[in-house]
Amino acid sequence: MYRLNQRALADAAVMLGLVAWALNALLVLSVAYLTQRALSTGSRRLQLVSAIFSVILVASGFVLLIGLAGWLRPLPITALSALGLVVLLAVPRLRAGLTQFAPDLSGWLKTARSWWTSLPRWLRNLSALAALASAVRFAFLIWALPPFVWDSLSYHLTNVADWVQTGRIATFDTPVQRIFNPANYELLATWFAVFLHHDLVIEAAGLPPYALAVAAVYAAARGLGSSSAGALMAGLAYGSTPAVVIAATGTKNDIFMAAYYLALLALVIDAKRHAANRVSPFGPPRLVLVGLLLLVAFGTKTYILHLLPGLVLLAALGGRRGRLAGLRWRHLAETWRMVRGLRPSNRIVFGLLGALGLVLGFYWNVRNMEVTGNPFYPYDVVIAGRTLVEGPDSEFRLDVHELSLNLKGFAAKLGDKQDPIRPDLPNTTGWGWFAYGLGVPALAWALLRRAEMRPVFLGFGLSFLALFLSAGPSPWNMRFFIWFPALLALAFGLAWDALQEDRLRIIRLMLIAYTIGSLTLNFASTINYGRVSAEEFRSMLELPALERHTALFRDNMPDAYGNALALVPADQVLGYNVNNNGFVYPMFRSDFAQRVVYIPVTGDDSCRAIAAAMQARGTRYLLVAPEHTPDSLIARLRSCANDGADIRERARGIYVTRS
Amino acid sequence: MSLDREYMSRTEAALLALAATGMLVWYGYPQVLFSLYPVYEVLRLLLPGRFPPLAGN
Repeated sequence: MYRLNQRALADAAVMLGLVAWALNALLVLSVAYLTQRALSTGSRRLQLVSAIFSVILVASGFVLLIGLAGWLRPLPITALSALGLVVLLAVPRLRAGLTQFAPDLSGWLKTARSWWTSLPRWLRNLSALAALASAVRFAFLIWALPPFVWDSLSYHLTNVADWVQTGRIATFDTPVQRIFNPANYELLATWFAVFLHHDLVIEAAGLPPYALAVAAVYAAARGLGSSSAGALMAGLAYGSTPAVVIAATGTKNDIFMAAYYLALLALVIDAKRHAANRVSPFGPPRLVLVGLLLLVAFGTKTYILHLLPGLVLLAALGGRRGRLAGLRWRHLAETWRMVRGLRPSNRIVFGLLGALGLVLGFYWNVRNMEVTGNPFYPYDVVIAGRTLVEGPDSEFRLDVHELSLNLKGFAAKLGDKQDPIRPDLPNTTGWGWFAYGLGVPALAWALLRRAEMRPVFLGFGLSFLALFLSAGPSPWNMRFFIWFPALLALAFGLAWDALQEDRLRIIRLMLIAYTIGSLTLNFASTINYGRVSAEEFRSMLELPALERHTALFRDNMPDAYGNALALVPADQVLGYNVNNNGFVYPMFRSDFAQRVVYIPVTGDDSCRAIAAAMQARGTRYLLVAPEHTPDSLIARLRSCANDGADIRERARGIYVTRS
Repeated sequence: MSLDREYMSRTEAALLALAATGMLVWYGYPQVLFSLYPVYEVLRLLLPGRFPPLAGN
């Protein structure tokens, strides 16, 4: 009976969470729609890009603001959502904006229908099948598996779990120093977890940026002059890239960075096209959109600074003739004149959006400055061997030696010969069948025959090299480069259009077969993230969906985490000690019920001191795990348990005070 | 730009197809094994007991 009541309560909580989520989604989508209207660049192909980005911007901004206020709970969010919707309907100008939704949607559907029917039948069938297969794959993996990718378990999702549990965005006491990294990704992940108070669908936070990245590749391809069919093939090719697909539900922020970089690329290419047609390339909305993308990217991961020179080079390259012209200072001067001529109401809207962008862009660095004295904590900033900002971790640097080591590492990863493509991309590029098989030859052709492709290549190349100047050499660093295969996809879009002649029919058919085969193999390689076995799937599927805790997913999880789940009551505080790369998130449980506290002890402390440290932090339990906790502390705890006076071992990796 | 230059010549198209074939063959080993492994695991999931686990799993 008790269990039945608990079940009924849990079901009721889920239902209420869904209602709260629906109401908030209505507010977020309404504000995002108004934002997208304000940021309209006048370019149809960029409309989808700005619409998806607006949703990410508004949802992330909403979570940050209410999280800082300490209202990150379904009830306050529901009240604020209702209030927000009332304001939207009460203010005549906002209401008038919203009433445009129906005609806008109708126009968009009409355009989409004529676009769809203009495509060749085989491409329509292939696209529909690819969309369906991707949707099924994403839905299955999100539903079946809990989060399991390393960095997300050490710090990305630890932030989310702490914020959802406490209802407030604040710093979390942990030895994993990277928890201080910019955390805009975590804001959207929180939006996918706070209403259900559960991580069941948290992996879905990567789907909006995935859609943004694919839409941006389509828009960039159209900007380069590809037909609808060529641009769609470019989008399909990039969207099938294994590294991109795996990153989408990998609960990390690299897919966001790829999406922002590619959205900026599409905007720059479109601006160059405007300049070539002697139309002002940077109206105020476009400038605001570029600024927002840069700010949100900076608040997601600092390496947008390394990618930026490539985009600036792309913007500047190119003469006055041809499809794409170089952008010049006078274009910015024109924009400035337009900004000065803006109506006051537009100035207010752009000012508000700019303020939101500044908060999302700089909040994390300002907080770090306040808390640690280093805006880039935990990284130091080293440029050409000179330390500009001190930090405990040396990763933020510009150094030719790094570049040389990284290029050697990259050469070894080319062709994905060493390992399967898995999350974090160990020893692989993750670019997949299409990029290598069709993208590389298409790029070689496009560089020879399409002048507009050359600045794009140089821009990508400079971003690539600049990031390699800074990224620490490691087997896993190609996850920072998942935007790069877009270059190969764009080249294929152009090459495809150049094959549309009857005399080339046989070769076209051959390349269609290669395309279908490559997309299929790309898809196949990602079905299980390249690593999850049937037994591991089964162990999760046998559990009810709400009980698929990360701690139980045996793929990379030490026994201690499952033991804590089984033995430590959810209403008790669980102490832990891990190194600065250890798992913290699994201890929270999938419903964020377990309170978790760091016990700062070492192998040099006495058993009594360790027990006292645990008691001082309000817990009887201490979790440690091999590879996550220093060996010396594990050895000390074992000897304490053998001694038996202060601490005993409850199960592998779980120690309990005797009091 | 003339219409001819918008399209590939036969030679260009043939070279593109040849290069694509070569690149797919080069990429194919050992990626084809890596790419089919997930399919094998899905088969093992759908048809329990019919297929043995691979070494290392």
